[in-house]
Amino acid sequence: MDELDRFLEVQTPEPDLEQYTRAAAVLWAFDPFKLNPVSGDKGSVARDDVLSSLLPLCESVSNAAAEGLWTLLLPHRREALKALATREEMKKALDANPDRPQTTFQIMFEQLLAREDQNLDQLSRDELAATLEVLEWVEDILEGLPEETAVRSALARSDLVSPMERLAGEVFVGREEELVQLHAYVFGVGKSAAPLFVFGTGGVGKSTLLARFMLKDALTHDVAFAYVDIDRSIIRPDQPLTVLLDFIVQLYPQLGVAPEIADSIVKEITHAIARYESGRYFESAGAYIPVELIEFCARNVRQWLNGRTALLIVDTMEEAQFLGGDVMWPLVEFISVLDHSLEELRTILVGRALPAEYMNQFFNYLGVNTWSKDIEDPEILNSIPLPGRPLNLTELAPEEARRLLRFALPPDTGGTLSDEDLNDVIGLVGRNPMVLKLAARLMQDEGLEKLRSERSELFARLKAEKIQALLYGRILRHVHDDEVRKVAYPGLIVRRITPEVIRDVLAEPCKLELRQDYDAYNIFYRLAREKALIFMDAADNSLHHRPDVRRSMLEDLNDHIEPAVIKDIDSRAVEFYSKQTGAIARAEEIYHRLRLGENESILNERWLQEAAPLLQGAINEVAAEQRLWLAEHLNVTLDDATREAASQEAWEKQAARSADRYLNARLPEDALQVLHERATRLPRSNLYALETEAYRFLKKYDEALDIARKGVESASKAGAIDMAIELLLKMVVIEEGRGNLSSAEVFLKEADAVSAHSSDQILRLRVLITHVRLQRQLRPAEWEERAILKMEASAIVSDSTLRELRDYPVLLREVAAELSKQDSRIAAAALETLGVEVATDAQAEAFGRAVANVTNIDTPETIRSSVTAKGVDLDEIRKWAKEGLTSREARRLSSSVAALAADSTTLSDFREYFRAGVSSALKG
Amino acid sequence: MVLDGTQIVRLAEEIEAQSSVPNLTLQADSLGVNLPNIAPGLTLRESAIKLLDHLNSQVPPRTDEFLQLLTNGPNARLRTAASELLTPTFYSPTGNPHGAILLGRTAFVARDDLRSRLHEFTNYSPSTTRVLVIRGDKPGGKSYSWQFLRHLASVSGAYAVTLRLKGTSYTPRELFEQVFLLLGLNPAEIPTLTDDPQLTKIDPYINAFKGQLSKLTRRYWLVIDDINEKTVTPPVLNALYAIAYSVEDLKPANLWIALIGYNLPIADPDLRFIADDYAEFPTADLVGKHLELVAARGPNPLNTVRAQEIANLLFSKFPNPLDKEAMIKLTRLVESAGEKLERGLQP
Repeated sequence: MDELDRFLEVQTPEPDLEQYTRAAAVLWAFDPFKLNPVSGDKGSVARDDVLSSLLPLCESVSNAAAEGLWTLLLPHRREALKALATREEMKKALDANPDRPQTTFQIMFEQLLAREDQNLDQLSRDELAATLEVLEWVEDILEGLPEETAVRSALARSDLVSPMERLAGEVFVGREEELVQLHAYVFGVGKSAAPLFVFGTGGVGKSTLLARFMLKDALTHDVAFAYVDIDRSIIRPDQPLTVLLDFIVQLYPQLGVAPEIADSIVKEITHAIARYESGRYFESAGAYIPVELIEFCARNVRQWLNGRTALLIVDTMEEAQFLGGDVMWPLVEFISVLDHSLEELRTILVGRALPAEYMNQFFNYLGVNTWSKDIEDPEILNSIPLPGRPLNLTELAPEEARRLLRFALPPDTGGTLSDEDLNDVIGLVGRNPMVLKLAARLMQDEGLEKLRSERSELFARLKAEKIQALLYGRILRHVHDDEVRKVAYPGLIVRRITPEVIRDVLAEPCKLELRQDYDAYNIFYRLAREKALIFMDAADNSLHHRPDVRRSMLEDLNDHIEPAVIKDIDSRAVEFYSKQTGAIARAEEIYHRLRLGENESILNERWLQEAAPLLQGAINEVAAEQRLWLAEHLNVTLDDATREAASQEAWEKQAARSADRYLNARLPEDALQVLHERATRLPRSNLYALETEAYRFLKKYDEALDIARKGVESASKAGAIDMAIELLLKMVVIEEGRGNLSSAEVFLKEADAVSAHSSDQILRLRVLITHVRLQRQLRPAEWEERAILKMEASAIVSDSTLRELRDYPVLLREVAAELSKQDSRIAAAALETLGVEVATDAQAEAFGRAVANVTNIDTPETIRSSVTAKGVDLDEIRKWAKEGLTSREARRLSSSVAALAADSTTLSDFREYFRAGVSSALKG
Repeated sequence: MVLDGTQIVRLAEEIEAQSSVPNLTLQADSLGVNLPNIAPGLTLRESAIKLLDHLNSQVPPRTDEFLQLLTNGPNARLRTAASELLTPTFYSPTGNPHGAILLGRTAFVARDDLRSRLHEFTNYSPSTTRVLVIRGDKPGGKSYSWQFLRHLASVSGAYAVTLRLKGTSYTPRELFEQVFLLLGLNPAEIPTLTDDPQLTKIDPYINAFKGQLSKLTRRYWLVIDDINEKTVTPPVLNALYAIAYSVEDLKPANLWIALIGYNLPIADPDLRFIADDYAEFPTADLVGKHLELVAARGPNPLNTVRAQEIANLLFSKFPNPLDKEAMIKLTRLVESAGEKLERGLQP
């Protein structure tokens, strides 16, 4: 025992405790009051003696279902298992507790001990997860274990496949030709020039078809795949890099790639997303389509694939289409670049309608008007060679529809129906698979046993009351209860029906006769039974009309219902919902205010952001002017015709949104086209700034300055100080970017004078930092003047401002370029937000010099040695920054920089690195 | 709050020394727990362990209620023990709770990033984040993070609750139920999805969660732990992400969230304010500094060189890099060394 051991009084564990820990080590969980030791006294007295020593080595199982069970902490478990050392000893330890809980973990552990061969593809998700867990127990202790990487890959695959199994596990018939085309597209000789687009109406079975293809075909060919659903909240169609990120994150575990390797790539993508600053399009680093980044990812994925095929499915494209062309264009082009960058990749896009942007991007050579609805015309599509021809998924063939109905019904019943019966049903509901399945379910709900006893009567009722109504809106004729019928129509003016809505909103206008024995609740529950017309929203147990039925009924509402009744219902709904809180109530209140055509000030006052998702479906139900207001609040771009018909204010908002997206996507011509739809501008119009940026992208600097000057004058007249400063600063950087520093300083002085009247600290900081930068370039020797400016700027950069600057990455870079030598917090914050930027040689060289002297991170020796007096090995630096540096190390770099002393040489080097970044950004 | 094994044993031993079976039975009874049912024929110490484990397992855990009983009870030693567990003492060389290096007897070494990021929780404003992500899939202090979070929540007047996912295989709905229960919300408000939804369909749950946020009656720090466990499925991860997103987005008056072990990238531009931190085992240098600071609290301060020597000696007993077993043993040794140095003892 050495000096330290004596000091710490390190004790060897008691022999009795060891017998218990060894017993516990082979059990996933145990009851400490029933645990038997591996050997020795098994009595309760002995156990009581060790309990106080054993429990601190354990934690209780948090799952309430396993109350009273404890589990040994991993390090103690491994220590005990190391002591047991062999499978035989571990099995003996198991024998001490024959009544152990047989959890999945326990079973998988015992299988490992038994050396049972495990076909990983056959294991469930729980079993795979448990296998990974128990592998950790005996890693490096036992031989002959499954490869951890293989289990991880199987788990990743299982996570991706499970939703498909749920989908394709349903009834699936037909689609043989489509499956053949999918096979040819993915596995055929040579790669098609375009991603394959699968389109068709809702419920026609697009996702089911793809799930079927994946499970029965693609996965048996060892394809690695990613399923990116635009409907998921982490996917932002207006930020296509989120698609790339999801693609990488889904792919790497399937391919056995170590997380730290994938992490470097993920870090590059996430930082690229974070560098965008709204309004400063030109200086936000990055290109329209970040080709270099996509190719960098593609190169890595190619290595990972090692000859295998990768399949990318992008589902729910209609969500991107919904947002407008300015979102679709960059997304489609992005997907095109990705698809072309990786020979092994096959891309399948899925949506409800064939997008014009897709057709224009890939099939422009056909010479058809891709903006017309005719693009879905089979004649046009047939001119595209298979297998890359867009795949239009239509209704099932009659025989397939019959087969589906038979399969969808219970086996003992489906066979008893004749083809004629099935044809009758199909004749009423059509051959959409989802509707057919719904029809089968309705038939089943009515009680299939009656099909035998009261077959004709039941069948007639089904036809008459349910199925017929489902698609054709004829259900009203078959609603037997008068009051229920009145609630169904015109009650469908309200989108959510509850007993309270029936009583307070609908009762009077719909002339309902509510009685004590037949009140709003009776009507509500009767209405709920009309499943062909109504469904229940689980979010609040309210009833909704089926969207297809409601849409068709709303269209001709005015032909059948007096306008006064409609207005009465809308007004009562506003009154009803305005007294309630929460997103649902507010959404309904706004919906009815929109229907009433109330003015914007009221709507703005009542707006609640959380209500936005609940109002998306309303956009096509309200009048054009209200549609503009709603589109603005839903972040949706409307089509050209609607926009042109709008009032100036509404038009400017729409044009600004559209131009913003085009500029963000580096499409200045498209932005200008939108901005030039109208020549006039409101006094505080932010279109001046957007137009200035568009001209700047096009290198039409004089036009940019002209527009900015007009904007400054307009803003000044309107007293919009901040807007004037913003525009003047644009004028400064335009002149600075083209080397006219003196002219830039003139504009800056103007901005400086105006900014004295602004209370916006961020804007003031921007003016000061721009001033420091210009002064440094114009009068480098006059450091005293610069020091005063820097002092004023530094005073603004409090911790709180630094936090705010995370939302202004371009300004943060500029601040770091001027102030980081004196303030390491700024350098650290900039590194954390912007990541490492080595796009230009100057940036890479400056970064190499700076990082070579940081001691707390694992900078490879090759990097340190590559930095010599003569220069820096740029390739080495770039490779390490992009591929070697994980996000954790990048964070550590940021922390190390934060700890540097002010005015240190290393901090000075980092300042130079940020300056290289600013210089690069100003040149665009 | 949830007590760990060591805390349960220490409190049970104190109860054994200071109380009696009838007393404990009465106390359990006042909490609605029938002690003879859950601990038939056990000794006083064992019964206390059983009772504490039972209270720990409730959602939300009811251990606080029992500790409150003890703090109001007649026995001074039990009052002290319970108070210490309810409001753990801490030692910070600077006096600032963010700089605490001892939480009760637990050493909390280094973690400057975490300390710094939690300023956004304790000094909140509209521009501060409501969500903290503590990354790390290897032992490196993730569970110590919970203790630090609990400490800071306590000193800033918030209430920290933890949901551990280890060993669970929740569905998204079950996850929401647990969250509701922990936050004192009514799980009956979570809608029932009757239409055989895909597991990924969580919008109705999130809407229900958002709808209830205004009903939180106290300031909560909800800490969700073990997110890196293999049993946590992608739909549950999506649900956790959506919970975090909604809290960051809405910034409710009474809720902050820490996700421990969430290792997926977060590329959502709207979540750029989310603070994240990597839980890593401290280096020998950092442990040396820790020992120096702890010794400075006692009668026999150490100089920097000697403190570093002791830290190096501690680290030299284990392989480099440290494996999982070494980390936990080393942690215990650091704590033990710290306790002695604080008392003025030196090797």
